Amino acid sequence: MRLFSMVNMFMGTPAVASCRHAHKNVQGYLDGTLDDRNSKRVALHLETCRRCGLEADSYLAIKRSLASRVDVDVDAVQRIRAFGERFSIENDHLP
Amino acid sequence: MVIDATMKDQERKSAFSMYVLPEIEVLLRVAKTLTGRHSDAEDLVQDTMLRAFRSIDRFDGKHPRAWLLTIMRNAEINRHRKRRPELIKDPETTVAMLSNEPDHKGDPERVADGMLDARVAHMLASLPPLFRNAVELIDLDGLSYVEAGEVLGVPSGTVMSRVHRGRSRIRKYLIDNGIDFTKDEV
Repeated sequence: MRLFSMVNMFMGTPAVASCRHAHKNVQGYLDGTLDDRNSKRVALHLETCRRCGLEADSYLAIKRSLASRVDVDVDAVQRIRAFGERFSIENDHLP
Repeated sequence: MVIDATMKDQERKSAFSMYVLPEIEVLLRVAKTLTGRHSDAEDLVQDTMLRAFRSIDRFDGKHPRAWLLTIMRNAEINRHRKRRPELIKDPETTVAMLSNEPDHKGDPERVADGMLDARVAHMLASLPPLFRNAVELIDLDGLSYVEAGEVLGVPSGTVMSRVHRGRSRIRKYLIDNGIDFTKDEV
């Protein structure tokens, strides 16, 4: 651990995120909005830290639950498409 | 002169078909988030398409979804000016819409999923509109943060902050209400 810290001192930003950094960035990591470097740091941390790993799991479960609620009204899509196609052809009659 | 006008008309129709029609499904989802009602959502999408058609001559062809979402935001703002305040989205309606929980009797894993979904839906509906709209646009409607920023008229960083805070509140509510994330399957 000490050697690891010394390497980090020479190399700059640690290769593995701290709990604090992971907590701050876990949602960005799951959304794919972090840059590659930060994303790798958080990923490495989540592999080894149970608490942060569970936090990531909980956000993933929430995101999946929300995404599963997407309810596309197929009839409405068809009606709107027909509306769009119609007035793109007969635009002389636009209000 | 007549030929020029016909050509222009054809270009508009072609641009409309190319840029607007492929976005109908996304527009409808976002409109549902903004209005909270299926019927209003349909009206809003039609209004957006009409406005898009009228201004398509001025559209440069870049980022059609962002362009349409901006039009939709303006259309929605205009719609609200004309509407009664009680028509603003009712959280109970959102709960009912989101909590149409299927029957999971006899399957413990699916019962657990059903409980999670119901509680997520409840907490989502209870979030302040600022956070709820941001979470819906990203996690239900599938917009990027930049696109959601176009809809809400705020920078993408602001959307991100609202989404993160919204999800964080949902998570806290779930933990406070006994959802156990330490199990392998939630």
